Amino acid sequence: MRSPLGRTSALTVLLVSVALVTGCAPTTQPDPALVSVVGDLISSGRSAELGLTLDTDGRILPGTLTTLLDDMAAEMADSVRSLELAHTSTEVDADYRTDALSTGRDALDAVHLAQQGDAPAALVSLGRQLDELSQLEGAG
Amino acid sequence: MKKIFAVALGILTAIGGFVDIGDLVTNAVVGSKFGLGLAWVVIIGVAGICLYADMAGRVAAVSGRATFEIIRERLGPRTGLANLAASFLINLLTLTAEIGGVALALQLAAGVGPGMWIPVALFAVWVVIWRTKFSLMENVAGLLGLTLLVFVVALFLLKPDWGHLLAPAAQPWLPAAESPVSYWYFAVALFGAAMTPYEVFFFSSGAVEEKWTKSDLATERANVFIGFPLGGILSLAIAACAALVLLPKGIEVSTLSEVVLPVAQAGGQLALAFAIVGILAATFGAALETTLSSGYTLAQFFGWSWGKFRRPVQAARFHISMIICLVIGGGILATGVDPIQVTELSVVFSAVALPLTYFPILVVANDPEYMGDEVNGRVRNGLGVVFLVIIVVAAVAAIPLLLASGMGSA
Repeated sequence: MRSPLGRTSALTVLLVSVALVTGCAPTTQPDPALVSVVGDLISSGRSAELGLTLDTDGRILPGTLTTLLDDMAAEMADSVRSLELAHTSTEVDADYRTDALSTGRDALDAVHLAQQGDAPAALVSLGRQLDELSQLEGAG
Repeated sequence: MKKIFAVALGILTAIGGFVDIGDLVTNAVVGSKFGLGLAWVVIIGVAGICLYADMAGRVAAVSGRATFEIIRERLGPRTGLANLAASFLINLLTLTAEIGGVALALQLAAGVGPGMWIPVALFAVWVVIWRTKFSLMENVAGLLGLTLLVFVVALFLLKPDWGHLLAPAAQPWLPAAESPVSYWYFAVALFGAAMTPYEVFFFSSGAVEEKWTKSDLATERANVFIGFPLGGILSLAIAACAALVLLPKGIEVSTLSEVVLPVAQAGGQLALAFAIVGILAATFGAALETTLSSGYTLAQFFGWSWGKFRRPVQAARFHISMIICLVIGGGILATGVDPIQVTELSVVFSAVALPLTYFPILVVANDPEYMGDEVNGRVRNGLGVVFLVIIVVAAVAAIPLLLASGMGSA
């Protein structure tokens, strides 16, 4: 019969080995902070999209739409800036940040297009960018 | 007939005047994040404000004096000073948020940035306080605020699946994306929004302004126990509209322009116009109330002459202190700070100040020297103590939750 001390030592060695292996394994998940910023971009983008859709249907006042687009453009610019300044320590984070930044900038450009008066084109572009951002968020 | 009209008017103005920028923003934010999962907080908050507003109104009607005047006398200058300091600072923050809310409401209508509307809002608040009778000021703002009932109309126009909408209210629900810390942070914020201190100081001082006596207690109770709960239904409607339209799209409310989107979707431009008028009336009315509350608390503590029933020259320090508060509020907004962030901070810090506001009211409402035979009964005292415990828990938890949740973004 094996001694309790021997069983305990074996268990300890096993646990330490598992910890070392999992600790050293490369993570496949991006930094949650980056994913959170993507969530913010989606939120602002969907608000702008909803406002533009309501405008197409004649259900929103011009002053309110202008205010909404100004607010969302400012929020999206803040989110893009956060991504630009974000520090990435892994390749996964760097790739994620690159994709989010590219799509975020395109979404912001779409809102600017709407502010300049081209609502139909803005709506199409924004929809595309939001779908990509949603995929990115899902991957996070 | 005249009495019935007065009671009805009081109830209507209580409904229309219940919601301010804090309730508007906080309920919409919560609705867009948790659906009706925090409806229980609104119900508890409304019950609490009804209980304590009734006490404050009864104190004023029976003693002929406003609550704050009696607090200093009954509990001593040190306790009174602590109460004054906390209440006044929170009031100032709330005043700033309300002025910002007026500017944002005007921006929604005009499409031009809020910065240019801030001086307009400040001037308008001052002129109305300076020149308008108390009852006219209160009634017009309260009645115009009834246009916020468009959120209730919008809720029905959106044709919700009622079972699905109300399920989280019956079983408070935590979306996978939200942390418990964030959930409880918003619970405290919502509670703070429902029980903001200025409401009881204004209600009590207003009772003195309108020269209420014991014979007006029935009116006071109708205003509080019918008007405030109906106003609470309005708060729930704002959250429900956000839950129906914004939550499924992953939109988290952070601006006033997002708060009105569900109304636009439901009822188009006309409904949106009603909502903007209602928001303007609610925030303007609340700006008047917080400005007056600032003056009331200072004047009542220091024993200055106060009240709109007196000519300004007879209550000069009361009026000058309000002007100074307006200037300070405007100065804070002129730094470019986001009024919505000021609003979110004001409701959380309101929660911190609640014990200092409500404990003295409970003490005074139990004192037969001031209340005669209208002292609190056992039921009121029992409920008062229960709510005081809830208030203390919320006050203690507010700042740690604010920090731990990153103002709800965690």
